Amino acid sequence: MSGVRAIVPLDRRDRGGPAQPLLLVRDLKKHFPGNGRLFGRAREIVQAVDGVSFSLAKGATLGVVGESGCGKSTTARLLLHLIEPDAGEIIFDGDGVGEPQGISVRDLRLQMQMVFQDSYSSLNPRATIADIIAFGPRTVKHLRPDRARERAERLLDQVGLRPSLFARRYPHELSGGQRQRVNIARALALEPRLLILDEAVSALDKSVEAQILNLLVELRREWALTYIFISHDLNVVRHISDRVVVMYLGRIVEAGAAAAIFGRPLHPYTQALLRAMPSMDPDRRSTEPPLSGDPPNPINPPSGCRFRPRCAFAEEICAHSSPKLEASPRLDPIGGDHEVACHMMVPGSGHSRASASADGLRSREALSALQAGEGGARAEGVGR
Amino acid sequence: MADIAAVQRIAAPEVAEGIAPRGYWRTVAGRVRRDRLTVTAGAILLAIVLLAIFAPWAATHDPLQGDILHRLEPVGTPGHLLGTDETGRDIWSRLVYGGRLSLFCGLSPVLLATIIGGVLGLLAGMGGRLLNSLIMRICDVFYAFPSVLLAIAICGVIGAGIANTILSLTVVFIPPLVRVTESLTRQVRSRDFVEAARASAAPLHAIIRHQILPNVLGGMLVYATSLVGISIILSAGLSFLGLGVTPPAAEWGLMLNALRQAIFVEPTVAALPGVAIVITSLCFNLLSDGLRSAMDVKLPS
Repeated sequence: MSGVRAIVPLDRRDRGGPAQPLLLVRDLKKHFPGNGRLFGRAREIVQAVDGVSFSLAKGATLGVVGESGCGKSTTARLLLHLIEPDAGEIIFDGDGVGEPQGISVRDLRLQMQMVFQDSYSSLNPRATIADIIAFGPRTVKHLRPDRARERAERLLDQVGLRPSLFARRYPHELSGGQRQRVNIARALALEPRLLILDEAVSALDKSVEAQILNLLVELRREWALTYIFISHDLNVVRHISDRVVVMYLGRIVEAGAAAAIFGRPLHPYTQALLRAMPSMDPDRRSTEPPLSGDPPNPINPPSGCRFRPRCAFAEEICAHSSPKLEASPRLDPIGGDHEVACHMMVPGSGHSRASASADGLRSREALSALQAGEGGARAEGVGR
Repeated sequence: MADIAAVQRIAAPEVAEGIAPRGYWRTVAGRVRRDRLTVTAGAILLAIVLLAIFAPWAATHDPLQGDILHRLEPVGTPGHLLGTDETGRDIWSRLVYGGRLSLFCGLSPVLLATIIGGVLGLLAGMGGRLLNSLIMRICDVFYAFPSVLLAIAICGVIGAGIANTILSLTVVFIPPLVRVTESLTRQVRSRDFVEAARASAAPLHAIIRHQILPNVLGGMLVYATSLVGISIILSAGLSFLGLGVTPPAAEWGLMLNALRQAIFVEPTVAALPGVAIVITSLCFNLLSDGLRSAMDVKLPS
């Protein structure tokens, strides 16, 4: 599943060429004002998304994982400008979003669509399935009602729902899986190039989830789509993604090829997440919770590294400076651009587990020792 | 993940061929037609409206011409089927003619207030915090007065007359309608499907028309129709105080007030204008209830 896929046919809307990432995000920030008092103390600020950067190649699928409340969904909404970002750049196929020479938010939304988690509340309960799908083509592309309807029926067919059976139904008459198919059809109705799937399969039964995932893989090929796949389900993310970013409390802590992230996780948080996946092997059952406690309150995030209070390796340096997301010199042999935000991975950072020099070989040994040392034979168990 | 990929695509379960007609509003119309109570209420209302419109043909006597020798005749008197009032005027004819003014005074303030209050409520619900506060706080000012008092005060300032009665009642009904619409709009706009519509780059007017309105209109209609009865009674009250319709014109509220002195002499006749008001507002309430459940397509019809 992972790895670089075949060359994507060039879209007629393509502007930057195949080498230009479809989406470039730089230092995206959103701080929500909390319920502070009007007088007296300063208002509290929730740092929902705090400096997120990534790039997404055309035709690739980016998996975004992390616990609830880590800013995954906020990031998705920021990308579509459903929430206005406080700071940061979004560059879609070479065009800055909302910039004078760039692309307008409206034009961005025509090329970037989203599928929501809650399949029921994301469909208008008082509209027929055909009207729901035809809404975009009718009001945005100004298609005649009968043409929009035709398109809706074609899309229904493509997502595996017989138009004659479903076009005139209402959302409450459909099952969860069928509703999510409608949601996908609705998102595709504007012929986007990028589809954000925000926990799109999380609320479905396992068998239905597999059907929808297969449908997504199929559509990705047929429509030459690029996906941002947000989920807390690591198995699913691994199944569908080329690249994965791991988020913790509004920041990206690790990014890299899916094989690299799952094969050789570098950040202690990623390692803990992977250990939290149930093992199929009874001899490898996890007896201790790899992570305890809840993520800290994003209103007052811990200083320095945000994972520090829950990290087994936290030292003084972690409280003082926050690690930057960068390619570790302890380069992973599997992935090329494996980035991690952890002091342990930066030689000379002051952390006792970081090697003093950038000697690749030695640090790799140190790394495997480190991974073995915390009882995580998991790394081998995870690789395929 | 072979285990995921290996699961065969199971065909979507077959559902019996739907008989649901195209489009939301046609579905609603079909559901209303199947609801016997609503259809009955609608038919009675239609009859009342038709009688009022065609009053010159439906009436048996001149509604203003009294016969002093036949005052307060009981119900069933030959020539005066529903009796006569305190000056000997035919009750049936007065009820039929009175329907014109009563329905007009009852319906038009509600209709105007629904349009104005609905627009303001949608604006407050969809707009930002500033616009919302502005509209809602102004409404709060009107809430500070009891509705009858407010209507009397407005009528007292701008003068008596039917037009002024309607105007003052409209002002009275706008704030509650703004409030109902605003809270419904707020509920709907926070749902995912509105966000999905925003994400599809649809213009705001299309979102309001296709996503918000169908989900807000039901609640608004139910509330507005419940005001019709109140509106008829309030306008009658204003007439009683000499601020609305003036005697000898036939109007249900005015008739009720005039006949109230005869309640011990001829109770059935005295109650008749009240019966007309009750039947009319009851039918409006039943109709609105039926409309609401027909618009909630989740409920089985």
